[in-house]
Amino acid sequence: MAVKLNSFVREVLDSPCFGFVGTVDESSQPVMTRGFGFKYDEALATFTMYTFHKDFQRLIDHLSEVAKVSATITNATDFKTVQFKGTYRNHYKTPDNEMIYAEKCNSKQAEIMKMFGLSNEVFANWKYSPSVAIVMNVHEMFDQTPKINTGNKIN
Amino acid sequence: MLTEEIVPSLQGAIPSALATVDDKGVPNISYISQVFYVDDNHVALSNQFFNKSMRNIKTNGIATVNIVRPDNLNSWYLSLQYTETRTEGELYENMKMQLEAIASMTGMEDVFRLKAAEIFEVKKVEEVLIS
Repeated sequence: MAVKLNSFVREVLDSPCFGFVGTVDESSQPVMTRGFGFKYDEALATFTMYTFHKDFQRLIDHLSEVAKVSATITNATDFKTVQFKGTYRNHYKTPDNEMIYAEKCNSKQAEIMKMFGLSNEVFANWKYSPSVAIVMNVHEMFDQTPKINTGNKIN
Repeated sequence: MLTEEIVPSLQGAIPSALATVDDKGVPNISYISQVFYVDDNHVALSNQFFNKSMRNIKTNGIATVNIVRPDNLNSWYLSLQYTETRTEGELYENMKMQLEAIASMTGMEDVFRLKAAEIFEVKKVEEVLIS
């Protein structure tokens, strides 16, 4: 696999971050869903994002072995952003022992809330479980931080 | 189509995720500073630096954007169809003024420079289902 987990990518993934994962429907309309946690292997061969069960349903009809998928992860405090591009691999109901990855992100939400002047109460109605994990094969990574000439390929 | 509940999310307070697709069918998800209310069926996106996204939009006219209400974080997906580009006029000036305000607060004058206001027709609105 050509992609590598460099310091920039690691910094974003370790930050108080949020993300989206998306594909394209039969009419070429992009379809995305919000992610609230993720896991990855050091080789970055695959990237797994945890999504809200109900929200994930908008993607399910458009995922197949050949589906092209992108996932974008953003540091909520400075908007440094990484975009992973690749193909859909599989999805599954998130087991309890993987909710730790979601909780890792949630534990940093206070920082995000403080930034927007909100309290954690706005999350009271967010239903993290059941959740669906979507796994993608990572082929490319891009620095998607909002800036001039953004979108440069990483590696 | 853009109800009173949704309109507060169209004031550029929270950056929005923008999804487009290239000519090979590869999705691209980036962020934009502003999604502005134009009328009940149209929104304007700030064109600052999202070159890949704009290339895709100018090629096929299609985009999906996620908008968020700053007061309660309720959010929606808007399916969009590009209609026109504006580089002058009241809407453009309002967006430019707000971007400049953001820039002065963050010291990012080079980043927050409005090239154009891209106008889209809203084809579909879907609530983000997180509860």
